[in-house]
Parts: sequence; structure tokens; C-alpha cells
Amino acid sequence: MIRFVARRVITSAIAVFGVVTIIFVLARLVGDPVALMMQPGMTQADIAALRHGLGVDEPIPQQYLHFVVGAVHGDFGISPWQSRPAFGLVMDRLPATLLLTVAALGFATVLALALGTMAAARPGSWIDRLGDAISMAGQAMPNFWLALMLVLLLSTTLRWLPPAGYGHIENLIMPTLSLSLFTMSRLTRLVQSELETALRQDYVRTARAKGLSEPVVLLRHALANVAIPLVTVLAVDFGLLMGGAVVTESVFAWPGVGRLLIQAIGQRDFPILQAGAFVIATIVVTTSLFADLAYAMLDPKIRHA
Amino acid sequence: MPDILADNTLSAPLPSHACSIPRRRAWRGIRLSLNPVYLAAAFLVVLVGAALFAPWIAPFDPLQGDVLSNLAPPSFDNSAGPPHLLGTDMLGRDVLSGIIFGARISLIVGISSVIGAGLIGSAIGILCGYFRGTLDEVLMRLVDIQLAFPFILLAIFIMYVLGQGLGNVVTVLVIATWPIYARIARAEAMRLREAEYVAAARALGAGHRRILLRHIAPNATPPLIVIATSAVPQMIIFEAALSFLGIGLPPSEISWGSLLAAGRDYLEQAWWIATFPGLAIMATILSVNVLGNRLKQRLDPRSRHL
Repeated sequence: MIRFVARRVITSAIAVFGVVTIIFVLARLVGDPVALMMQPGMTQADIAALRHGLGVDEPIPQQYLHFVVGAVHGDFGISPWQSRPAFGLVMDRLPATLLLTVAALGFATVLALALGTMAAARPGSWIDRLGDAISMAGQAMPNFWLALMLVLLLSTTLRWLPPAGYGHIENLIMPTLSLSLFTMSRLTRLVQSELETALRQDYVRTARAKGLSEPVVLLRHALANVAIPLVTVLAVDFGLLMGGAVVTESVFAWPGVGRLLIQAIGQRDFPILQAGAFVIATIVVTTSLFADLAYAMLDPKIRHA
Repeated sequence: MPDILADNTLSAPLPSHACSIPRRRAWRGIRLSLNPVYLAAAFLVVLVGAALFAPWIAPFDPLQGDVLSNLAPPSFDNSAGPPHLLGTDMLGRDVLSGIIFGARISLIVGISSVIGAGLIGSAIGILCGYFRGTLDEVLMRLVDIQLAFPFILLAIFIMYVLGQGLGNVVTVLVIATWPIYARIARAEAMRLREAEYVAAARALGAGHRRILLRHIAPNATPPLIVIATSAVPQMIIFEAALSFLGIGLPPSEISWGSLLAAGRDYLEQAWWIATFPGLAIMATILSVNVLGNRLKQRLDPRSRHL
């Protein structure tokens, strides 16, 4: 177990390092930030000073070395546009991203468990078909289109909710709904099929033969089997939503990490891009590490191996 | 699985004892034509036809606006020339024609990025799974790196480096998605290289090349095809997302995503601009998924015998 964890920690660290390196290189391929910052009337000396101030006058390998040494000490540089430490700027955006992600995944999980369990309990019933319809539609609908349709219905037509913004509970509803649909559709199908498999097992027959009531059989004995695949999907989607919710964020003017990064690409703000890549990759690999540890806790077969 | 859908569509309103034989036969005809698999296939045929013959089918030039009739709502009124069945956008361009021409972009992007990523990813995966060693270790670290960063952000990054354009969108999607195929192909190759018929081929003196091409690649193909089919819709959505953000295709090309993006600023005045392209995306993806599920049942021997 310890060896397994140690190996996973090392490969995770390599992955974070790789992501940051790739983003470092890609950022420099996007273009020269100095070109965006030049103002009319600047002399050659001014430009050289600006270049020096940004640290982009050094050869790229040396810039990389400086960056790595700084990053190891927790210093990701200062955003030239916002004149503040880039790491702090990224961390300021993190609560908004986490709030939306947790809300969307939480909503998706609760609804998928309810719908999937009811569908598996009564195969062929209307609720079974509703579950099928939701999972088909959810996988076919681009979430930014759903977002626009929600705005059209709930804001422009019914005027129940503000079309965009951040800070109030009303602002959270539409982004949560539009982001949760895809995860919910996958989870509903997953819960349903895992439960249907579990309900065919011998121990379920035993539980029923003991005279346990159907809800107890379903919730206590069968549903436990859903835990591991559920954790897997949630861990993957959690990682994808860290910064991957950019399009939804842009529809609802949600101040998340993804939008900060998109803006930083346009401005060629290297420190924010590198700090953002580091934060996102660290969260993603940590999540998948915890998911692996969660399997060990959830599955006695793995725990004792 | 989709059979649950297929068989239940119309089974409920049929009390068998009350039905005369011809009526039952008529029901069967309707059931057959409402079978989602046929509906999906029919829709895709129409879509591909529309994409191929877009210049002849589309009622208007999708890029040529008529400012006098901008933001016109959907109408069937043909008293003043051909009607704008799905309305017009802020520049007076016909939405229906935009959707018909946009189908070309979506299909080209969806299919070519899946083929590109599928071939490259599978080839790398099979080689790594078969030979293992350092190459394999390097590959797995690369896959880890790509999985540690949201794929849409990576795609946006590379779009900024390459610039807008159809070829670049496809390239970006190939770069962003090849690891999916590589992982599966690798797992398949690792499993197959221990198979008895591979050992037999080796004993008969077959070289690596022959074993890879004749024994491993063909047997690793079915799961890869299943993954590839389910990836086509995702690629269509990603192209739409990139164009929606304004970094996918240049304004001279019409895609479903750019139509959606154009409609976003006019939700209040003109709901139709954003609504119809989204419906087109949804119908396309639903159809591909329905057919993909059927394909999966055909290719997966375990579900075939159920």
C-alpha cells in the first residue's frame, strides 16, 4: 500500500511538472507580451527596460530555470498587467470555481442516485424511461447551449433570475444546472446499470430470502456497489471542471479560474498562465490520488491486498 | 441498452386481446418506423445530404446578409420572396442556410479529428503495449500529463498558438484527444500479446511486424471503434465550444458554434438565432449516439449474446 501511494505521488508530481513545462513553452509560442504593452513614443531604451522588467530579455532556457527556481520557492512571479503576484490572483479565483464545481457535482450526484435507484427498482416503468431520456439528452446537449436556453427561459422570458453575475444564490442556479447535466446523465446511467447487475447477485437473493424489505435490500445491499464507479466518475469530472468550465463561466460572467486563464492567454500574461497551470494540475492529480485511496477504503478486497 | 428504448416506444397502448390482426400489423409498421435506430439513421442521411449539397439546398447565401430584414423572426410568409423559415440574424443572414452550411464544418471536424486522433493514438498505444519498456513508460507519463490539465483549456491554448482555421481546429482536437485511444489500444495490446494464437504465430516464426499487423491490430480494433463513435459527438461539441468562444473558425466560415455565439448577444430580441443551431447539434449527437449504441452491441460479443 505504501509503495503504491509513493509511486502514485511521484508520478503525480511528474505530471504537474510536465503540465507546467508545456504551458511555459506554449505561453511563449502565443507571442511576445511586450508587443501588447508598447505605447506610442517609447524609445528603444524604454522597450529594453520593459523587456528586462518582464524577464523576457533572457534566453528561454534561462527564463525556464528562473521560473523553476522561483516556483519551487512558491514564487510564480508578478502579473505585468495587474501588478500583483500571479499565484495570489489565481487563488482569488479558486473559491468561485470550487463553489460551482461542488454545486454542480453535488446536484448531479443526488439527482442521479435518486433517479437511477428508482429506475433500477422498477425496470420498464415511466421513471426508467425518464432516466433513459435524461441520459440521452444530457449527453447530446452542449452545456453552453443549455446555458443559453436557461437564460432565455428563466431570465429574458420569465425574469426570475439574473442572466449573469456572482455573489448571490440566484447567480448560482443556472450555471449549476447547465454544468451538472452532463455528469448527471452519465451518473444516472451508471447507477442504474450497476444496480441492475447487483440486484441479480446471490447475496441480494439471500437478503430478500431473509425477509428484508425491498428498500433495505436496495439501499443497504445493492447501492453499496455503486460507490466505487461513482467515485471514479466524480473524480474525473471534478478534474475536468477545474478550469474546464470556461464556456459556462463565460456565458454567466462567472469569475472562475478558467476565465482568468483565457484572459491571460489573450494578454500573454505568462506568470498567471504558469501559476494557473500549476494550481489546476495540482488539484487534478490530488483528486485522482484521493480517488485511488477512496477505493481502498470502499473496497475491502483492495484494502487487504 | 437502447433496445429498452426501442421496444418500449409504442408497446404500452396495445391491449393484445382487443386488437384485430390487420390493426396489429399496422401498429407494427409504425413501431418499425419509429424505431430510434431508423430515425437516427434517417436523420444522419438527411444531414450528410444537406452538407454535401449545401449550395443547392440552402435557400440563401449563409454569409450574404440583407440588412433590411435583419432579426426577422421565423416565418412561412412567402409573399416577398423565399421566406426565412428559421429567421435571420443581426446582419440579416438566413439562419437555416447557416445551419445547412454549418453542418459541413461540424461533420468534417467531427469525423476527421476522430480519424486522426484514433489512428495516431491507436498506433502509439499498440506499439507501447506490445513492446513495453522505456517507450511505454514515457508514453504513460505523457498521458498522465495530458490528463492532469483540462482538455478544453489545452485546446484553447493551442488554438491561440496556431491561429483560427478549420485545419487548426482539427489539429488541436487530435492533439488533445489522442491519449484516449492510446490508453485503450495499449491495454488491448498488452492483453493480446499474451494470447495463445500470438504465441503460436511467434512459434511459427512470424516477426513483430506480422504479429502486430495481422494478429494484434485487427483484434484490438472493435473497442477502439466503439470509443471513436462515441467521440464524434464530443468533437462536434468541442468545435462548437471553440467557435463559441470566438477562437475556432474565422468569421468567413459558418459553424454551428459561431451561430450560437452570434445568437448569445441577441437572446432578448431574437431567440431563434441561438435556439436552432443548438437543436441541430443535439439532434445530430442523439442520432450518432443511438447508432453508436447499436454498433457497440454488435461489436461487443458479451452484449450480443444477452
